[in-house]
Parts: sequence; C-alpha cells; structure tokens
Amino acid sequence: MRWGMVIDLRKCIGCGACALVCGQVNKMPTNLWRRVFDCGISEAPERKRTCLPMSCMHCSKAPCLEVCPTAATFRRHDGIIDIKYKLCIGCGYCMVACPYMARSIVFQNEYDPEPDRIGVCSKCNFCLPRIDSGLVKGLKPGQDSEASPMCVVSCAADALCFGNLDDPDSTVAQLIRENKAVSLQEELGTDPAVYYLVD
Amino acid sequence: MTVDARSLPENATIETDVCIIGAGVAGLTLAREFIGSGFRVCLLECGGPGPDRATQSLFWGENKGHPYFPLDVSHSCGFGGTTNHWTIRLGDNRLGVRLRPLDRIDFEEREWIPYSGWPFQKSHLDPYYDRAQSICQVGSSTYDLQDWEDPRTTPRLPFVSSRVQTAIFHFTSRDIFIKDYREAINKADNITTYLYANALELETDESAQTVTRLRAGCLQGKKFWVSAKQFVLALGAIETARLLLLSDKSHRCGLGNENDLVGRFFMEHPHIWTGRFFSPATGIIDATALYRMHTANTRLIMGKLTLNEEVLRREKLLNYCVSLHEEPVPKRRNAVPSWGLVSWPLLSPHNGRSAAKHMGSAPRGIPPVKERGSAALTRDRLYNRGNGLGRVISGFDDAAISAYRKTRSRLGSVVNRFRSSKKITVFQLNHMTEQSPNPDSRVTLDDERDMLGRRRICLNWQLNPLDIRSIIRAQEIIDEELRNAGLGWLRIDLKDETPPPHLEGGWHHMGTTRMHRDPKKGVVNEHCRVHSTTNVFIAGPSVFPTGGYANPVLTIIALTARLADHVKGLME
Repeated sequence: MRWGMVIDLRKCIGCGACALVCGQVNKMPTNLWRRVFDCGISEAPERKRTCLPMSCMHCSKAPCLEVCPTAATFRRHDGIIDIKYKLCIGCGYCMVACPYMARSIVFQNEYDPEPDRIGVCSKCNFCLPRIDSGLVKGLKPGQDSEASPMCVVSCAADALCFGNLDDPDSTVAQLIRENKAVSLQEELGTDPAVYYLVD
Repeated sequence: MTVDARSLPENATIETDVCIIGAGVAGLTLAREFIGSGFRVCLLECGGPGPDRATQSLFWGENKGHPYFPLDVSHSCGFGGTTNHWTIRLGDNRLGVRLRPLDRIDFEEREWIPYSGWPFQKSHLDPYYDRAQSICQVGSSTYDLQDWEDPRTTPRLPFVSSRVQTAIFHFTSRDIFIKDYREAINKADNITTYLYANALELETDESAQTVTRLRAGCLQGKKFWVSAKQFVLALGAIETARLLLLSDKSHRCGLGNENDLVGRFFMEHPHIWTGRFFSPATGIIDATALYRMHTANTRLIMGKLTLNEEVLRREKLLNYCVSLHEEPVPKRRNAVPSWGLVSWPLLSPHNGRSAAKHMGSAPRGIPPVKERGSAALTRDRLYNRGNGLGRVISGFDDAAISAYRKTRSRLGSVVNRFRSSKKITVFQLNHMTEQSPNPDSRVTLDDERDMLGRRRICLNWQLNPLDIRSIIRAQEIIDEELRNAGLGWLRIDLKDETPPPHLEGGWHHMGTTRMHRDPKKGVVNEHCRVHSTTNVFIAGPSVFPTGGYANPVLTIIALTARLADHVKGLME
C-alpha cells in the first residue's frame, strides 16, 4: 500500500483553489504546504499557460527523513511521510534537504493552528486525518471525497487524483500507466509518490 | 439538460426563445430566473463542467496599460465561470466571495467625477438587492452596523467624529452557484446548457438592429448556430466587449459601437497594500475584532473602514474602504528558533562538512549526511534515534533551541501577560477603492488570433490621478481620526499621484459597455439593452457606469434579476 497523487498538468489552470483549501483545512497560511507555480505560457496561437502545483512528494527515499536529527520525521506503513511535532526541534535541516522545498516553519499564524505546529517544521500530509477517519468508516480514499485530500476534492478542473499506487487497478495507477507520467527531479532518486501527467 | 456542443451536427441550428451566452454568476442567475417560465432557454458555456486549460487560453490577451493580471488567469471558463475563482476562505472547507451593495452615493452624478451617475438611484435597485441576497442565500441580512456589532465583543472603533465609518460585508459560498444552481438548471425542462460552445459572432438582419442568430464554435472546429428572439451577453466585462467588437459584419466598428464606446471605461477596484496603522492602545486586537472575518448572528461578516458620504462630497473623493490586518511580527519565543534556522548550517559540525558546503555548494536534494540505505534507516529506528541524539549533542544551538522551546511553551502564557501591556500593535492596510471612469482605460481587439480564429483582446488599464489622490487623502482623514480617538496613528507611504506598480485589481472587471440613457454616452440603456439593437441585452459588471468600492457580485445579481423581469415582460 502506498498512497500517491497524480496531477494532470494538461488540465490544471492554476486557479490556486487547492492551495487555498489546503491552508484552510490544515489551518496554515495559504501557499505554504501547497503552492501553485506559474511556469509561463506557450507561443501563439495556442497561448496555453502551464502551472505546477507542488507539495510534499512523500518520497520513498526521502532526504528529509534521513537528515532529521530527532526522528520527528517518519514514514507510515502506507508511504505517507509525517512529522511528530513533539519531537521536532525546528532546526530546519529537513527544509534544506528537501529538493522540492515542501517544508516550512510557521512562527506565527493568523489562522490559529494547533499550538504544537508553531515553531516546528510542517508540511503536506495528504490530509492524513481525513484518510484515517475515512478508512475507519469504510470509505476509499481517492474515491470517496470525505476520505480524500481536500486539494483533490476542491479541484474544479478535475486535475488531481489520489489513490493507492501499489494497486494496479486504482485510477492513479491507470493514469500513470496510460499517460506520459513524470515525477519531479527523478535524477535524485527520491522516488516521489506524486506524479505529473504532461502532453 | 446539458449537451456537449461538440456532439452537435456541423452547422446545426438551435432554435430557442432566449439565448444566454456565458454560464457565470450573471448567466446562471438569469437562467435560474427562467426555470419553469415556459420559455425555451439556451445557455452557452465556452468551457466544460469545470475550467479547462485549452478554453482558458482563449482569454489570453496583452496588457498594455498599468500592470494587470494575465487575462487568461483573471477570469475563468467552465460552468460557474468566475465563481470558480471565488477564493475567500469561509471555513468548513468552503470558498466564497464578499457581498455588499453599492452605496447610495455610487449611483449619483458627482460633479467631481467625470462620467459618473447611473440612470437610476439606489432605491430603484433595493428590491433587486433583496432578491440578490436571497439568491446568495444570505437571507434578509442588512448592512447596518448596529445590527452586527456587539458592544461587548465586537464594537466599532470609537472615533470621536463620524468622518470615518464602518461598512459591513457579508459572504457567500461559490458552491451555491457551482453545485446547487447547476443542478437546478440541469433539471429544468425548458433550459438546455451547451458546454464547449464559444460565441463567435452575432449576426443581424438587414436593418442591422435585430440580431437573428449567433455563430458559435467548438475548439475542435465544429460550428453551429443559435437562433433566438432575445440574446443576453453574460460573458464578463472583457469578453462581452470582445464579442460586440468581433460582430462587425453589419457595423464595421462592432455591434453597438457606433459611438466608439464599446470597450472603453474599463474599471477595476484598485487594491493596494500600503501604509501601516500603529497602535499603542491596550487591547487593540480585541477592539478591532469587528474588522476581521467572524460570525455574528450566525452570519459570517467583516467590517471595513470607510468615509462618511459628506466627507466624500466635501473633499471630492472617490468612494473608499480599507481593511485592517495585524502585521505578523515574529513573537519573541520564536526568535531563538529563527536564529537557529539561519545559523544552523554555520554552527553545526555535522559530518565534518564546512559551512560553505551547507549554505551554497551542497547540491539540493542530496542530504548532507553520509550515504546509507534508507530502508535500513527506516527499519532501525533505535539506531536512527541514537544517531540523532548524537547530532543534537554535537550542535549546541539545537540543544539550546530544544531547551528553550520546552521551557517557553510551559511559561508562555505567563510571559505573554507581561508583554501584552507594553507592545505597539501594527496593522497593515489593504485599500480597496472606487476607480473613476476613464475613456482611455479600454479593451480593444489585437491582431493576434486565438485557436478559434477570433482576434485576441488587448487591455490598456489606465488610472486617473484622482484614484490615487483619494487613497492618500482617505488615509490622512483616518489618521486624524485615529489620533483624535487616541487609538494610534497611520504611516502613509504613498507620496504622489502616480499609480505604484504594486497597485492591482481584484479580478473585478467592470464598465466596458456602460449604462446610460443617452446612446452617445453609453452602450446599453437603463434596461441593459444595447442601444442600437432591439434584442441584445447585457448582464454583468460591464454595464456599471461606476463601481463604488463594494465587490460587484451582489450588484451583478441584482441587475440580472431586474433584467430577467424585463426580458420576461418583453416575451410575454
């Protein structure tokens, strides 16, 4: 079992709703756990804009995990990289190590987060509480919106898909198999769980 | 019923009574008003069920004036149109938009604002505002301050005079339009929605006054026609002007453009973060609770500071509001971690690497530790933890940070009590103001063509000196009032009337087909009908002669409800 995400860059219009909802559901500032980069526009006559949503890639060989001095960063059995906030000392070493700039430290937050998230490192966790509570209810993450990450649920362009990468019948596995799927900075060997579909 | 226009036969003709072009907030409101009316309604949407990249690219155009958002980003295709771009966080995982009607003064002809004045007063639109409130599902909520302030928990700022006032904003969720109304429209027997249907050109009869049919096309190349008795353009201020300008077979300069007005008077709500409000007053955070998003009487609201109507008249200013945002100054307890964050690579002797390697030359993505099998690391948590402990001990700053954080978190509440009585609180100011109508601020057609062969749009957003002067003077007045009330003072950063580059819009496109009774001064009449035609109407913010400071959504919906009544009357 390995949870993963497929982002169809052919569909994403860069509206940023996923980043906004991410901030809202996780009580974090917008564009922190999840950001959408504008990568520019193609030549005339097409003029198509390419946008790149990014968050934690939940790598199977996660550099952040290896450098954490207190083992606050850990990998769950389902592949999600999570953080034990009580163990984190906020050193920022994982932020330096992460090639995707997915980690950040919040010193003050207008959305009044849980106090244990202030001053320590935090990042996308695929909306873990939603997944776990959904599984308890017998729901299927990726298929049932109540058990899926909020970014996936909020995407009006239907560009995001979530599911089990290890299940060949899952939608994410099929999308990866049937389309041109790439992951970011593959040469680093981090083996991300987030794939991008490109033209 | 919803139909994919790509499945229509080539050159098919759709016969209908009312053709609504655009399924955004105006188009959906109008279509919803026709549910069960007995008239056949055809609703055309250029995108699909949601926004898509290919259709979005059709909106691209060049910005030649004051810096503005990319045009393909600043509004949205797909069912719901720009409601897909409503991005204010409402809580409960909902996104939405601010609501407020225009003020009474916004409808008046003000001698210090050239081209100002609506063909009617606010009192005429008030019943439609009530309907708009109902459509937005905020009920009969008022905008009177006394209905929303709680003198105990959310009082208004205690100004000495009434020069500065508080305006209340409500909020509504985009799900109402994207989900609820979509479902209602889909279920309606008399409404057919065509997706992926792009309006290309309006064709008139020989008199050149009555539009007989619309030529539409899909990105894949298919073309079809819509023949209707009434046409309503609800494409937003930029695309509505574009369609009129593109419809140039009978009128060389474009439909309704006999007086060279289509596309002119493009307006936005200038948004600018500038200036600071410094307050040494004790408890100022609590005293400004009204000015943050909060729930009052089960409604989500927020207050903003505005100027009294009489002040606007006396000082000859544009309408104006400003919101207060506490500046996120790092708290003292975070100072050590932030220092550690910066200095960690310099101080830590990990693995004998030099500071230079940590800071600059170490390649991103390669963990600055000795290579080990990550699987082994995962399995052997004890080893990892032991190794981590060694690292903590070897780095003095880590140990200090850890100890400080533990201690600080235990003593935090005590320390905060001492600190709060002495500090100065700083608020950032986000100004949102009216823009004065400017004929040189305009939308024109470019020579470049999109994938449908239509000429692309070009935007030249121009501001007047009055726009900036109003922001500066409004801050001066607020500063005086804050000082008089002993609440603090403003630092005003704007120095002259040149629009600063970081002044931006709010995705509020307005004014390109302005409303006026005189065809020489407006594109549409008081009923939103294009002057030179008998059956083309415009729904949306392009008809606004002036835009006030309030978000345009509520006024768009109110005008559309009014237009629905008018068109129904004509049909009956």
